[in-house]
Formats: sequence, C-alpha cells, structure tokens
Amino acid sequence: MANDQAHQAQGGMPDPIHQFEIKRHLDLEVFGVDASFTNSSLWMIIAAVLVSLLMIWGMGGRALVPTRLQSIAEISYEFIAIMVRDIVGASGMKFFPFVFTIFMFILFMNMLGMLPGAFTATSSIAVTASLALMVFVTVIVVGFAKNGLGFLKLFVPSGIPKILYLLVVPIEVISFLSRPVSHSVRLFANMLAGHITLKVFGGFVTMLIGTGGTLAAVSIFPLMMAFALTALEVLVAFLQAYVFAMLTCMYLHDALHPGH
Amino acid sequence: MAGSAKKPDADATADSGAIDRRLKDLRRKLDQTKVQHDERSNRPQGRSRALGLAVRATSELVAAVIVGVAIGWGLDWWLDTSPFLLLIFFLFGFAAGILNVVRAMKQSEAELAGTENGTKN
Repeated sequence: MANDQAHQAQGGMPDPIHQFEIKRHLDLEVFGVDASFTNSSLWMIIAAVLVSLLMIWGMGGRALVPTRLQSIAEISYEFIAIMVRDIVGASGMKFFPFVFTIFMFILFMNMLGMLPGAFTATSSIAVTASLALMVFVTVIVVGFAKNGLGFLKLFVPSGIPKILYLLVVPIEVISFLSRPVSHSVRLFANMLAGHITLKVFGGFVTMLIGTGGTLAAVSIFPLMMAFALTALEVLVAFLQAYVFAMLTCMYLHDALHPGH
Repeated sequence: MAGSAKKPDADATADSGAIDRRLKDLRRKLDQTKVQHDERSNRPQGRSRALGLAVRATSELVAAVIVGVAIGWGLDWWLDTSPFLLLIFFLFGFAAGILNVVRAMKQSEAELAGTENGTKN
C-alpha cells in the first residue's frame, strides 16, 4: 500500500504493472539455481493449503445431508469427474486426481488474485508454463507407455496419399508442439490483461478524484467500469481454470487413443 | 341427527377441494421456480462458453504460428539457410494454427450438441 501511494505521488497514475512485481521474502539458492521464496510462492502455498483444507475439512464429516463446505467439495468433485469421464473416457478416471489437482490449484490461484492486495500467481508465465509443461510431458510419457510407437500415429492421419505426408506431418508436429504454448499463454495472458485493466480503471478513479471539482464527479464512470470488470474477472478466473482442465483432459484423451 | 351427519361430510369435500387447490398452486409455483432456476443456471454457462471459445481460437492460432516461426528460425540458424526455412515453417505454422482452430470449433460444437441433448432428456 505504501508503495502504491509512492507511485501515485510521482506520476499521478498508479503503475498498472507494479502489482506483478516479484518480491523476494527469503533468499534461497539450490545448486546454483535461484529458488528464493517470493510473494508468488507464498500465494501458491496459500492456494494449495486452502484447497487441501477445503477437501479435508469439507469431507471430514461425510454427512448424508452435506454441510456447506461438504457441498462445495462434492460439487467440485462431480464437476471434474463428469468432465474427465466425458472427454477422456471411463479408462481415464485414473487421471482424475491429476486433473482435479490442476483445476483446483489454478482456480484458487485465480480467485485469490481477485482479493485486494493479493498476488496472482497465474499472472506469471513461469507458473503457467510449468503447469502446461507438466501436462505436456505427462501426455508424451503416457502416450508412449500406453501405445509404444503407435503414439506417433497422432502425427500421421490415415487415408491420405503418401505424398501429402510431406505436408501433413510437419503441420501435425507443429500443431502438437503448439499445445503447451497456447495452454500456458492463454491462462497467463487472461489473468495479466484482466488485472492490468482493473488497475487502469481504478487509477482513473483516483486521478479524477485527485483533480477535484467537476472532474471528481465524473470519476463515478470509471468506478462503475471497474465494478463491472471485477465481476467479469471473477468469471474469467473460473473460466480459465475450467478451460485449462478441459484441455488437459483432451490431451490425455489423445495420449490414450492416438488414432483419433 | 341426519343434519349433523351431513355437515362433516360437506366439510370433508370442501376440505379436499381446498387441499387440491393448494396442491395445484404449489405445483405451479414449483414448476415456475424450476424454470427460473434452469434459465438462471443455463444463461451464464452459454455466455461463458462463447467467451472461452473466442479466447481459445485466437490463442490456438497465434501459438501455432509462434512455434512454426521458432522452429524455422532455429533450423535456419543451425543449417545456415536463412531465410528459406523460416518462411516455409511460418506457412506450416499458419496451417497448423488453422487446423487447431478448426479442431477446437469441431470439439466445442460436439460438446454443445451433447449438452443440448442432455437438457432435453
């Protein structure tokens, strides 16, 4: 907060990028790699702890008539279980814990980012790219483990003349390699853009009030905009977690059944 | 005696009539709230799906082009063939992007058809 005020004092408009600054809480180096404990790590840990608490505490009672927490836990379980069963198939249910963990973790990071003063861990490409690469590597390992070299059928569609393979195989390979890129950039860009827009409209409000007079009265418009954007951002926060989990399911489906 | 015997009988028919009316009333109210509930839960879902689809299509296209350019650029740098492979792989990347978008649309269409059948049943 003190920092934000300092920014305002200098330029009038608060710096919209400032909120994404990584701050080191604890310097740490593991084998020459910078593994400091940052505000990003802190909020990731908070997200993980909250998810664990929700599931453990919520399901602790296992009442026939669920409490509120138990309902939330059960609804989120069913939501993902139906998605995995629909997209990956019944044999894909062994990946349910993986998909569920990813969904809940991203959802909580996104939602925690909506709290004032919180850091949105999913607004760093490092975090989303790690998650996307984890899915990518899992898909490759599972694909080769389940189908052997048959997994390569993913790149060779059947029923076309052999000459066309020269064209189709590179396209399919690029299409496959683009998955982790779009997977990670989508989540990162959505969270980043949303939070910058919110900050900019919030900045307009403080600027207009700061000028005083009639302009201060106009500040109601950016305030209304920020209000509407906040609602949109909550929707986007949920939606992006959902899309990430759904695409994970689709990629896992490809890994289990590469012949389309 | 006869008069007093008739009276409770009439009361009973009046009572059952009132109960029937109240039951009908309740059922109507229940149906109304059910419809409202359905609409409320369906509308944002459709909207959010469209938004998700739009975001998905753009990112799929851009990601494939980026990967194609990166591969072409890397191969050029390695094989010293600048700029031919970059150009070729840019086109490959573009084609892969279009392929990605077409697949995403097909998949969402199938999903939409699936949910519509689900609500009808």
